Amino acid sequence: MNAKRVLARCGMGVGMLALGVAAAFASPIVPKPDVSALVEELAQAIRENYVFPDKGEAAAAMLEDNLGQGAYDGLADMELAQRLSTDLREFTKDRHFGVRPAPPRTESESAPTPRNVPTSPFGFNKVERLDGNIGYVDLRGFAPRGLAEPTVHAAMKLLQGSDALIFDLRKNGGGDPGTIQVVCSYLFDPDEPVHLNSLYFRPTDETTEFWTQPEILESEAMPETPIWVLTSSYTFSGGEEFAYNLKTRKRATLIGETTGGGAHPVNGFMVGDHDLVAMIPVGRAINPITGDNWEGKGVAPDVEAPAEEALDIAIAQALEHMAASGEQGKDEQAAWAMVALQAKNGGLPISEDKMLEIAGAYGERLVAVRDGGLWYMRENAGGTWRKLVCIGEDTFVLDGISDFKLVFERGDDGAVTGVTGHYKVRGPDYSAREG
Amino acid sequence: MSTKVFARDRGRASVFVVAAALSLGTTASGQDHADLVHSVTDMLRTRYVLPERAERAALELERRLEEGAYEGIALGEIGPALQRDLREITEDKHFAVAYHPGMYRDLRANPPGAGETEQPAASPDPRAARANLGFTRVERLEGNVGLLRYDEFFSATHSGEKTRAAVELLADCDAVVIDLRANWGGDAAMVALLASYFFDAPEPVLLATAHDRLTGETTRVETDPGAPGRRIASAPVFCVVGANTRSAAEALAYFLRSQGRATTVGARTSGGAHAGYIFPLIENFVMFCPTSRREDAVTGGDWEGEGVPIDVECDEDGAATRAHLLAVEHAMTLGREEDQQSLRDLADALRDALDE
Repeated sequence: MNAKRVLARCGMGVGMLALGVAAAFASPIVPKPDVSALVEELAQAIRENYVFPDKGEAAAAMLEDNLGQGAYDGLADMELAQRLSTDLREFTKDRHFGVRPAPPRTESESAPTPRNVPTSPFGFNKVERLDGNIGYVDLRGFAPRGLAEPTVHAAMKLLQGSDALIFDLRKNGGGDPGTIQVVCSYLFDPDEPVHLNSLYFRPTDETTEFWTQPEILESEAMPETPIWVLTSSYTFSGGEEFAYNLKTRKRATLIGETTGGGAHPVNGFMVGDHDLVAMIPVGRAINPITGDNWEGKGVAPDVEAPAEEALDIAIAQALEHMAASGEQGKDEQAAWAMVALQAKNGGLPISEDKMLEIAGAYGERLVAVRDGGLWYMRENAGGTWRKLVCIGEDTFVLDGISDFKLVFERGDDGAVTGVTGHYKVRGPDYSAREG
Repeated sequence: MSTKVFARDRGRASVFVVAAALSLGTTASGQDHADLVHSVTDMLRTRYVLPERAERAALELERRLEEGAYEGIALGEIGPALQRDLREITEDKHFAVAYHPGMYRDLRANPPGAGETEQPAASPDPRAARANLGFTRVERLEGNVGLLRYDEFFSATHSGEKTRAAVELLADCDAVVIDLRANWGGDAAMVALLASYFFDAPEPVLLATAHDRLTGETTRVETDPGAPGRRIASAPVFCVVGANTRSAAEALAYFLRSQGRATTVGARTSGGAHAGYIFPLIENFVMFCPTSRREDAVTGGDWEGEGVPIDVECDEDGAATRAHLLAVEHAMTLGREEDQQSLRDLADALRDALDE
């Protein structure tokens, strides 16, 4: 068996290759070779394939040095894999390096039955239509295009008709650039193909260009829909490519944390005799606009925020964008979705002075200060006191109700003179202050 | 154009509310509304799906009219008053009466059942697009369980592609949870279309027989084996339901359950099994009147008044989690060795969540 057999080409990430590997090998069990043969084999593979020849040579020498000093004596399987991974990553600072135990040999060449393998959503863990008509997708990875394509088209079909899109890549570890290409193709005008990214591969000394696919139907593409992309320090590799592609084309606003910083696609190499799989970075991304990539530095967001806050920020920005669109229906819907979002988040703080300015009688509407908060009651609407949640300058909603808001009005002297109720489903009504 | 809707069309329903609110007290009171009440009782006697109940209700309304119950009621309030009485007397929550000159004019020009029915608009209305044709969320939950949150049955004519896409994302799941807790109903034809994706028989599966008093027709409600796309043919289905699960949403849960294709989880549903149309009355008033009912192909009955039978009764708020747990417990029976521990841990976590 050829020890340097390529298992999977141009994978941009982690954890997406297990199926392909399991299906690719089937041979009788043979005794394990010793550690030194395995490490030498790995060093040679790196020397011949790592994207930067000088650095590959140095990394190979490092492994051979360690071997000579007995650093790997007595190690096998997971322990050996982890030790080799750590040494390679620390030495090269390239997080795409990885060594792990080879998956078990399969008994036969037949494909696993559906019941034996948990099925995958191919990265599309959730597709949701959020309040205000925002299409949201929790995209955890880019599965091999050959498997994932029907899922990609289905997910994009469900996103069509959204007034804004949010791609959540905070848990995205990367994957197949071909799948990234398909998703991106929906986000540009099909009549004007866009050069998204290029990948240079050292083993073939070739550069592959990735362009948007013109075969996406015009009726299905969303070239005008504003996009927000959520990132975290976990976002890696293909996830970063997606974010970087859109950022460099000014097609999306990135919100969150600077990403992990891995721009080198890997090939898988079997070392030893079916003992370990080594992921060796064999290529690098070249963005057509910057001529650069994100290796080692990550993709910086447009709006820096802790990952866990990124979604709320993106929703708020998307709703503000829509509210300002001037498109009838869309702007109103967005404004009300914003009210619901602000109310859900507990509202803004309000000073006691301000509460006292507002408290009073407005016809049937009464506002009182109680327990350090403002409370509201309308006599002909059940007579229940409800807490007011401040969502803006002199603007409030009732706690737990998101289709009604109150805006207090002030005269020239700044004194509160009245209040207008705004309803989602009907026109406003005004009550003048009486006390 | 008259579109048959399972219960009221929500867009129109909200118009009802607005119209009533805006016209409050805008005209002189003092009318006895006799003509209006008689137009309502005529509608009952000739159109309402249950003739005997229609006659009883008509007599009761006429008695209340005689007693002066509607005297002096303002124009903006008589609609809601009649609607309240109709629902109370018939125990059918579908009835609606409203003052709506615009709709009245349109319906006069083109009354329901006048030859053409179910003529869909050329493209889905903007509300349908903004609601993603009802497909609010498609998610892969832990344990390889699919979740579909489906909030409204929009026109089947326009829902095909979204339905197919949602099913594509769910087709490989070991179990599917359909959350219908916020689904008030909608287009009756969409029930059969969505149900089609849960069967893979080459022949249509008869779900129910529909009897329509307006058209006098009896029609088969059946699956479409030719609906394009994949199927969720064997994975168990859990329909999550509650008090706001109405009409067409109840139909889907009821039919799938009686076919042995779904388990219902949650709390008592609304109990509205009648479909109907909006009709013009007189003097700018319009009325939604149920004209048809369904006979389930297996049980022979329906869910009017009683709601959909619930297999696993639980608090509505925790019902989706309960359904997820049931789905995971099913996945554990599939015997995938490598999954057992993670499925057990997941089931424990879901039980803990339910206990809280």
